[in-house]
Amino acid sequence: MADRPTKIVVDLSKPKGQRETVVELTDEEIAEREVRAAEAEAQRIADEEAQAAQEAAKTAAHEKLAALGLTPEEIAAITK
Amino acid sequence: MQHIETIELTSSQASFTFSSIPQDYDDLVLLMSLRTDNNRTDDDSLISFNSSTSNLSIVRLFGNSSSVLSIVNPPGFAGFTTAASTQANTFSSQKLYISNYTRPTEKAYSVDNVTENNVSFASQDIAAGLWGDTAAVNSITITMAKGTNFIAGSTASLYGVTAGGSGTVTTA
Repeated sequence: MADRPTKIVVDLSKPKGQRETVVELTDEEIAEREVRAAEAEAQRIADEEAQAAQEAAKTAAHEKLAALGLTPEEIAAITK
Repeated sequence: MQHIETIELTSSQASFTFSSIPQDYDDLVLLMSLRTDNNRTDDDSLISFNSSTSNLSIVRLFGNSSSVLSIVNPPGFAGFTTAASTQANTFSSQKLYISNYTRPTEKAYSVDNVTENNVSFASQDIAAGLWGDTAAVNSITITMAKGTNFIAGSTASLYGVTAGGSGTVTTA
């Protein structure tokens, strides 16, 4: 069975040297952590898909400009 | 700028919290050197104030060795953290500046960070964050977005910044 995750809490109202406490996450904290992880992963996938779509559109646009007869320098001049 | 406390992890931890933050500064600065056990090149770390994960928003300008993006997530973004598939013993550098943390207004913060990898790929991020709550900030928690852990050797230092007599912030 895996160890239960822990966290450090530093209570700044206490004297130095007595501030740090390591405590296990509660069931509620573990559940919240899993929800946030799922949301973050879904967002990461969405971001990567959006980035890929943007790159594909950029490549297609460059190809169309080249097909119209623009040189790479001319394409760079109007797209950068 | 006055040092308040430094945490240095001696074992993996899911999060770390500064609680009972003194209320007699004007701004806070959090400097972090972090690495996560997530099996990627980098991962998002998140901030929460007073144990609340609500009313957080972010606007980021992100770049790496191949692309530049403007991103508005995840809420509570606190910087990119170097992750487990990068060169061993490298850590991200993350700076957060939290302005007017005791005033009864929304709390703005900025993020300035890079992942450290010592190879061609690395990520940089600057971001403007907001916590839409009027409560004074009395605790700050940093965690990983994807439910992974900060590894031993990660550090976080909290500083307080006080405005000088002229009203400008003193940083000496």
